[in-house]
Amino acid sequence: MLRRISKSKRGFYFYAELLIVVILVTVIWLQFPVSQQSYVDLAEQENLRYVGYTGVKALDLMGILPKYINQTNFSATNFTTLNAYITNSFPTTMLITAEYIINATTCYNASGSIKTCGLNTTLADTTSVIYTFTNSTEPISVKLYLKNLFGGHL
Amino acid sequence: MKKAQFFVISLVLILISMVSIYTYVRSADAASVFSLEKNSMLDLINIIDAVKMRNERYLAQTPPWWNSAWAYRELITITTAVDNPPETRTIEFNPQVPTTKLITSSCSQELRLTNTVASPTELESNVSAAALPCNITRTEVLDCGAPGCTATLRYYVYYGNSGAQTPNYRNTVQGTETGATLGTEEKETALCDHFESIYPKTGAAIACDITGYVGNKTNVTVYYSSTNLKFNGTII
Repeated sequence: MLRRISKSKRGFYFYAELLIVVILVTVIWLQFPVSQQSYVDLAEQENLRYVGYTGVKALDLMGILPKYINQTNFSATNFTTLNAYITNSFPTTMLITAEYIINATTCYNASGSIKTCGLNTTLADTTSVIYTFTNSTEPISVKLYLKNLFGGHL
Repeated sequence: MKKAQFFVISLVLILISMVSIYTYVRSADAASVFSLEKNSMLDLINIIDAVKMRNERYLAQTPPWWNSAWAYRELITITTAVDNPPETRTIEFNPQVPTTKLITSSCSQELRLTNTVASPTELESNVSAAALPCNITRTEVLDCGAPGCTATLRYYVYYGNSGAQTPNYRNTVQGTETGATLGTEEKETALCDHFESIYPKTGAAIACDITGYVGNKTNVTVYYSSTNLKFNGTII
């Protein structure tokens, strides 16, 4: 009698628990690579942002931004030269698009055309960082959109 | 015992499943996953760097704001020949103050003249007319050396104060109009205004204010709050 009851209970809960454990292990096992890859992607993007920020700051400290950005008449800024400096300051494996923010609604693109803020098309895995250039009058923020050409997996 | 164990395990499983599904959905945009949001530290570093750079690079070269009640100022440089120095002359010049920024529309009430020394003080000045268009007049003793020498005068003209009242010394006076070179208009809160206009778009809350001056540097208090970073402090 005792043996029969024990066998019956063991049968139902044993298989239920077994099923739960299998599902649990499967879910965790499948989730690990996704989370790990996302973490790696995020770390790469943070690295890109840091490289972008320090790169533009270096251009400021070297006098490139004060020389080519005309704060009193921003449309007269030498965008071609500035864009060349920015592009060539970073590895060729990085895709860089600069945007110049005057205020919440006014931005200039890398070519010096006034436009609404933000990019029309943003590639996947693109991140951005802001560097604020301040000299004497109106501050201007340089926003870099950054993407690693090889997704950081060289 | 077995039944209770079963329900506990089921609950744990449901919880883990929910977390897993949420994590998977969030990771689909490759921008963030679960609690891994974009780090805001660089944004805060940018704010601190910008204030410090402005203080080091810019305010270190020019006097601090004379009075924080006035929102704008402009450097005025006047160069004039002096036939027989020392010569007392009432100089008159056009500050070309934008109409929209002279809030009271009253030259008598709102315009102020200061010197350009390290600790600026207000200089007595008059206006050619009570309202725009008006010139500023000031009597100076010009003593630049030999006859025919050139005297250079530098002032800051302040404007943009809705509560300004006409100072006791002020009259409507005409002088000898002199050409003046105008500097670039400066706005006291330009940097704070800039931060407050761009960072809310990144999802962060920000409040920035100028709280005082130490030497030739400006104290700026910043409150910054994003999903993973909070800062409330003074930058100099």
